[in-house]
Order: sequence, then structure tokens, then C-alpha cells
Amino acid sequence: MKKILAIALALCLVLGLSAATAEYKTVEAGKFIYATSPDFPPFESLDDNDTVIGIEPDLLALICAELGLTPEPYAIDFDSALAAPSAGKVDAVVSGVTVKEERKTMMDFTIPYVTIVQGVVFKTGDDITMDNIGEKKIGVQSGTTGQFEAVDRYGEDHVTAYDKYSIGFQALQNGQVDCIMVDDMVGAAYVKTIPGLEMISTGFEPENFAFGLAKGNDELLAAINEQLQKLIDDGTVEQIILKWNE
Amino acid sequence: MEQFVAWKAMMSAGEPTTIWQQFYVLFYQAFIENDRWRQYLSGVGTTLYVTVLALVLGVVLGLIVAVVRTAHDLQRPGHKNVILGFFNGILKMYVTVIRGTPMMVQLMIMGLVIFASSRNFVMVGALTLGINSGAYTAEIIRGGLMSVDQGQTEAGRSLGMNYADTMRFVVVPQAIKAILPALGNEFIVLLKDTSLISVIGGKELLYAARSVAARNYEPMYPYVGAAIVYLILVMIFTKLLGIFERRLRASDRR
Repeated sequence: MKKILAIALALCLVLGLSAATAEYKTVEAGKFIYATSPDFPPFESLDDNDTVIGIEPDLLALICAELGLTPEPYAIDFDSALAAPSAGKVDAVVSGVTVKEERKTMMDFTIPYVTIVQGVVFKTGDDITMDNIGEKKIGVQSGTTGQFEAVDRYGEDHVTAYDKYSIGFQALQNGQVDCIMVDDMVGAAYVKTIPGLEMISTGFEPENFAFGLAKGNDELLAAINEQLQKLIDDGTVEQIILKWNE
Repeated sequence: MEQFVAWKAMMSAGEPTTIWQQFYVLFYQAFIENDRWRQYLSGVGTTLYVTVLALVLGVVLGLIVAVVRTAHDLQRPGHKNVILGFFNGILKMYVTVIRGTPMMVQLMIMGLVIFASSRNFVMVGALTLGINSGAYTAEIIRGGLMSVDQGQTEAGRSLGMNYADTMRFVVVPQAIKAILPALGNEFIVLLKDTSLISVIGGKELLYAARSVAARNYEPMYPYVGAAIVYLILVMIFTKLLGIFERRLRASDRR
């Protein structure tokens, strides 16, 4: 009797454990691997130890802790990051991804958790307004909504796309481009760290950020949505955003 | 066009589509929609333009470096020319520095530090590639010049030709034949390295492919398309070199 009980108990433990890890289907069991372009403060950037830090890593840490997963960043250029989930390399792209209709063929979006507007960053003293921006050279990051807005509105000849925002902002300081079109919260972070820059808002349509999960992983999507909603409702998301915008 | 719109709607709605329909939609959106082939075309134009500029610059630089260094190395022992020694030192340093640093790093330094105020990213890219290629070409040419037997120079000089004429009519024609395969190799590498200038904002073929891939969220067709174009360019290049090589070998009995 004792023996049977022991075996049953052991079985329960083993099954229970495996159930806990196999609950969500991910690329690597127990891990939540996300593609990200860590040149996008305050959403994600690299610290001196090469760790990805920012709003989204913080959010993911909270969410994944609830789901029993370990978040693991996969740092890569933004346009490649967007393609990574559909290539099956990662579970999601978490890199300040704007919810766009066209992108829905490639990924399943979670609920949005923040809204931003495109901004224009330029050197203080330069005469740049939304009226004359069409005659200027605009720097953007490859694959971002900023690139599409700029190209669609002002034409390919006025736009230079860089692999990373960090290179783009270097070009701006050099005077190789006149301004950078970037999501306002990110622009503000760069304005804060690089002296002599300022930002205006474009007044374009606001954009919503969400996580982009690999298509078809409905259980994981539902679970993340649930946790994210909780964090939005109790004000944690707002707190984290405020903390990183300080 | 209507077919494209209809089939694309079917694909994004998740309705079943045939492989042919998928191919058509993905191909159409990668190359034809909104005249995207124009982007590739202007990209190829830039790629070729940069290649030609860099090639000419590389060969000129390489030739100068090679001639000076060969002249220095082939002096009679005990008769070292000081001025030649000075230039040899400088050029040796140039070759060492350029060959010792990655192309990408050189582009970043040239694009964002040395030519920080230039907006002509294509020219900066061509210049960087040319300077880079010059270092490799120099060593290839030097190898060729050194490989021609000393007796050839001596014969030329003893027939009353001066140094320049001996080089022009005796040494260089023989050297070119020997180095052509290696030189062709270097040119091919150069052509493909032009894809790197997109990091400093040069709008060549890869830049175009990247833009389209980012638009459609579909990387396969644009990148494979770009790869095929590069391949075709290199094949044309190889063919031309082959013809040139055959011409030079016309007098050979091998």
C-alpha cells in the first residue's frame, strides 16, 4: 500500500512538473525567447553588461514569472527582429512594435499597452517644422513605422534608413541628416542623453505598441494578454513607463 | 493586378491558396507592386557605380604602392635609396593598417568620423572600398612584379631601355598575365563588398532589398532576388575576365 502510494505520489510530482513546463509551447521549453533591437530606449537598450534593459524587459520579467517561463532576449536589427517570429526562431518580437494591419499576417499581437506618436528630433537651433520637413533629409531606422511614414509622405530621396537608431543619431549629430523621425518616447530618451537636440511632434496618427507573438500560439497569447491586462489595470505598466522615462 | 489584390486578400484572410498563387503574390509584392523593381534597378546602378569607382581607385593605388615597394625591394644590396625607403615605409603602413582592420570598421570610421559632414554616402563608400581594395591589389601586383625573373629587367636595361620602359614593355605585360586570376578574385570580392555601404546609408542593391522586405514583412523574395542579381553580376564579370585572360594567353604555347 505504502509502495503504491509512493509511486502515485512520485508520478503526481513528475507529471505535475512536466505539466507546468509544457503548459506553453515555446521554441525552447521553459524559455520565452524574444527578438529585440536594443537601441530603442526607454523600451529597450543595452547596459554595460550587455543586458537588455528597459520598459519591455521589465514587463516581460513580470509576465513570464507568472507563466513559469524565463525571458531571453535575442538582440538583432529591427527589420530582422520583425521577421524572426514567423521564421520560427523566437517566440515573439518585443521591440516597441506598432500594431499594424499588414503586420498581422506575420504575427499575433497582444493587447496594446502604450500609445505613442511619431516625433522629429533635430539639432537645437535648426529651422525644422512640420511645414518644411519635406525638403529636409530625414534619418530613420530600417523597417520602422517612421521609415514608412517618411517615405510615403516625403519620398525615398529624402529618407536615409540606418540599421540602428544609434547610427542614425550619430549621423544627425554629424549633420549627415537634418532630423530623425522616431517614436516620441524614444526620441525624448535620445534628446535627454545627447545634448543639443530637441524634438517636435509630427501630429501623425497615434500608434499602439504591443508584443508580436509567433502566429498560432493561442494559449501563450491568451496567457500573456491576461497578465498584461492585469498589469495595465493595477497601474504597474504606467509605473514602469514612468520609471524609465524619469 | 486584380489577381494580386484578390489572392493577397485570400492569403491574409488565411484562406487556402495554391503554391502558384502564393508565389505570384509574394513575387508580385516583392518586385512589381508600386514599381518596386525601380528601387532594385537604382540599387544595382549604385552598386555598379561604386564598384567601378572603387575598382579604378584600387588599381591606381595598388599600382603605385606595388611599383614603389618593388622598386625598393629590388635595389642592389648596399645601394638603398633614402627617399624610396621613406615612401616604402609609409606605403607599407598603409597596407598593414588597411589589411589589418575589417571593412565594416573602416566604413564606420570613414562614414561617421572622417567624412562626418559629407552627405554623399555613396561617394564615401566608393572611396573607402577603393582604399581598401588598393591595399590588397597592391600586394597582388607586387607579387606579380616580383615573380618576373630579374634577368628580364636586366636584359631590358642592357638593351638601353630606361626603368620606366623596361617596366612598361617587359615586366608589366608578363606580370599581368600571372596576376589576373588573383586580381579577378579581388574584383569579385569588391563587387560583393559594396553591399556593406548600406550601413552608412548608401542606397545600393541590398538597401533596396531590405526596404522592400521591411515593407512586406517577407524577407525571402527580396533577399533571394538580390542574391541572384549579385550572382549574375559576378558571372558576367568572371566571363569578361576569362575573355581577357584568353586574349593575353594567345601567344602562349601551353
